[in-house]
Amino acid sequence: MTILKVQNVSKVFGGLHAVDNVSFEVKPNEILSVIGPNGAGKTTLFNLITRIYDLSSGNIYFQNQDISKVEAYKLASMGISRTFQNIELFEGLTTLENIMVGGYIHGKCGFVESMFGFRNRSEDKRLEKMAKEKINLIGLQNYEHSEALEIPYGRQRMVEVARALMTSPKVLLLDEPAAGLNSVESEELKKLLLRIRGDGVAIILIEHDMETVMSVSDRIVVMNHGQKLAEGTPSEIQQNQEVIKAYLGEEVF
Amino acid sequence: MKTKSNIKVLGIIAVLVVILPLVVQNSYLLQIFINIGSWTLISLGLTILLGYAGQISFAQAAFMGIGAYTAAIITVTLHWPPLLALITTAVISSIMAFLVGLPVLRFKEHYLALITIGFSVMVFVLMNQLSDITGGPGGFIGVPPFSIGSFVFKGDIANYYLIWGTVLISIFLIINLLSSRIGRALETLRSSEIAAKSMGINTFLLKMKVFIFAGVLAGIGGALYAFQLSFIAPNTFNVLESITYLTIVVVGGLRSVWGALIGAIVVTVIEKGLTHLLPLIIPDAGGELESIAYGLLLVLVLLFIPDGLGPTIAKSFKNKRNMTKSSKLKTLDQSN
Amino acid sequence: MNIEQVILTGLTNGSIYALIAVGFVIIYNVTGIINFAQGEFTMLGAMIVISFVDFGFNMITAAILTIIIVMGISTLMYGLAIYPLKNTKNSLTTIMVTMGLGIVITGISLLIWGTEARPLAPFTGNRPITFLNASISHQDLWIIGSCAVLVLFIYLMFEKTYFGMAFRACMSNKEASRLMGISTEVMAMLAFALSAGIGALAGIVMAPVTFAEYDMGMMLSLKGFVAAVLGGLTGAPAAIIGGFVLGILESVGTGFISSGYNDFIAFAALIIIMLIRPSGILGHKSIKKV
Repeated sequence: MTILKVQNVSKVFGGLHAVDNVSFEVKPNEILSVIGPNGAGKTTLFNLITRIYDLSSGNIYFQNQDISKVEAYKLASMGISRTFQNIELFEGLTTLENIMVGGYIHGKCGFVESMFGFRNRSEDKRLEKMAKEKINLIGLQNYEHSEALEIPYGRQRMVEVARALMTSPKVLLLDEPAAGLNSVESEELKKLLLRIRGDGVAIILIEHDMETVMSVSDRIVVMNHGQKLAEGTPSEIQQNQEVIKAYLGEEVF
Repeated sequence: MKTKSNIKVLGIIAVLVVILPLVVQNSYLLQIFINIGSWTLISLGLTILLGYAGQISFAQAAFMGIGAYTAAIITVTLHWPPLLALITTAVISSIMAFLVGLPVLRFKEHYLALITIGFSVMVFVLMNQLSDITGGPGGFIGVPPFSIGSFVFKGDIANYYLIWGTVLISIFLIINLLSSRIGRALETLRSSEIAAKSMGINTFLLKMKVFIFAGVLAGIGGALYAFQLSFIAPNTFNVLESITYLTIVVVGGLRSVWGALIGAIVVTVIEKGLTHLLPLIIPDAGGELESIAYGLLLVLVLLFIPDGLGPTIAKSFKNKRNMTKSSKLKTLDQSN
Repeated sequence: MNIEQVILTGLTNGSIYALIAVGFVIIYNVTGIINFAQGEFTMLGAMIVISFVDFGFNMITAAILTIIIVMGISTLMYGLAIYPLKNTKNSLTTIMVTMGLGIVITGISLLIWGTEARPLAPFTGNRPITFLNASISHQDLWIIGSCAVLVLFIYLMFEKTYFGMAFRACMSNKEASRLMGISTEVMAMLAFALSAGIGALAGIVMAPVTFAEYDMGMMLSLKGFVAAVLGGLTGAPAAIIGGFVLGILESVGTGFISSGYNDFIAFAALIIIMLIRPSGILGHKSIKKV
């Protein structure tokens, strides 16, 4: 069973192979981590899967459907959602409102209909209830009505996770969610990841914090210089000579 | 919460708007109120487009011009009734906005600024050059007053109610829009389009809808302007006028439904003040001097009160109220 | 109207646009700001030089004084209104501020010089020179010549001097140049001054041909910006080519359609080119990092 399949995917930026012929598969109910040194092409890979960049070559399949040419905004309703490495929260909106934007695809009121306001109230109530569930799940109650971009950095990352969850994804791509978290928060994040997986969501995780990666991942893909260096379970990766060489000099495991 | 209080404020303004002509029977002042109304109408679209969705446009005056000339040509050249003309105007300005938006909305910031300016210049050139249809630089004379069936909106009071009625309805629609999921989606365009797309928002389509909405409001504003004055000329719809509308929304407050209204009042007061005061200081000063005042106002507000007057006043008001509240609490504490 | 004449006229107008476009590009690359008041420097150049000449100064002194004054005005403008915005993330604010400054400058010029178009005698003789099938006036040659000299000057300055190197460093990587000890604020101020100087020069050489009017700045800003965008906003050489393309397009339009449609043609060309090649005729595609 495969939910997402990345097949011979490449991205070239003016001669530079940012992602070079990478393939892997993601199963439902698993946490797959993508690790590698800075500049290995991890975030570019995310941008390819979520269609922010066009592929130079290769294909990406989601539930056996080729999404290599699907427009980015259509992915959320298909079941792919993500967070961003450089936080991309919406300015001027509170934490609650930011998370409610994640429920955009669950609403039906159109532009003109909204202006006359017949259904706004009931629809908003429903989205607000959903958003509050995510807030409780992630523990953002104290920041609900604060402007999202003014709350602590670590919490902003969690708002991104909550917003992504609001789309009810089948595959969730998280780009360094543990960056800027203290050790207590990291522990909470790990629990959260396992819980999300428990709800039947596949997670693709980019993370530098090896402790988190090794403890939650079912499988790991290692990237270096845009290429896939290795793939396997955490223990396989820890013993892989090539991986150790790529990380030489860095104390990772 | 915010929606409810906005609707309340709208109610109060509606009452004021209704009473005003009954109290103030000076025709000069009535003219000024009409002027404020039409500026508010044209600027409202810009509040949504620039303030909420973060897309700059210098095409408001051009759309106003398209509206005014469409209404004029339809009623005078084609002899259609004004109501039908107004509806056709709305349709034509939305089609124009769609056609312009299609290539233009892919661009951002200074490119968007430049291309919308370019569009305005092109419209301005056509208004002047196609003199067989538009009357050329001399303008278009003899637009009939607006009418619905046999009721003719003749005279200042009727036009006052016509324009302010349209303004109030538009504000009502906008308040509703902003409090919906579409309203929140609009705000995402300002800060992160990429995140917006990842949340399933078709950002291009949404921008297009806002652009069309702003264009239609300006088009209707232009048509009403033509009906009210019965004479239109290209200079009213020059790019520089677009900067005036920009000044209005920036001064009033970009991210407030009331920004356009507050800005229109402030700019009108300044304009009238200047026309009365300037000749006393500089005897041979012409009307062009207003534009320095607008330019200066725009720069000063952007530098010193970037939120605009509306939100800034509201904030200080709120702070004061909170302060009195907390000082009350303090006295309570002390008395205990 | 013959083709040689059309091209020659286009080159003359194009030189002016090119000079303004170079100003745009310098400021944009150093500061990320599009200075919509750029054309006002050209207007000021024309107005001020005419005042000096009327005052009895000789042409060269008048020109030098004018350039210095306009550079001073630009520096002042930078210090008062642009520098305070350095922490603003919103580029729309800077667009509106420069637009507002342009209007203020226009208005002040109106107060000083009035609405009448002010003439200036050509620098040298009046008799046109015949060249191929076209005739060209002395002043047109001055315009094209000063554009050429300026291009050479900018090239030498950017490539051969320490100052130019710092400038280029600032253009390509702000962070790195800050680390190298180059003050980006000082560079930004110099960029405004340099652009203003170039703009003023354009105004000085064009004044005898077009006369000087208080409200000509805005359209010059727009045309200069169009030229810069046609070139891709990347560098001075591209901007100059953009200027010539625009100049020739306009003169072809004037020659074969009507001069009333000049502005129409310029912007129609802009929109068409931006649709076909969003990165400009010579530009490269850039990608936003997320």
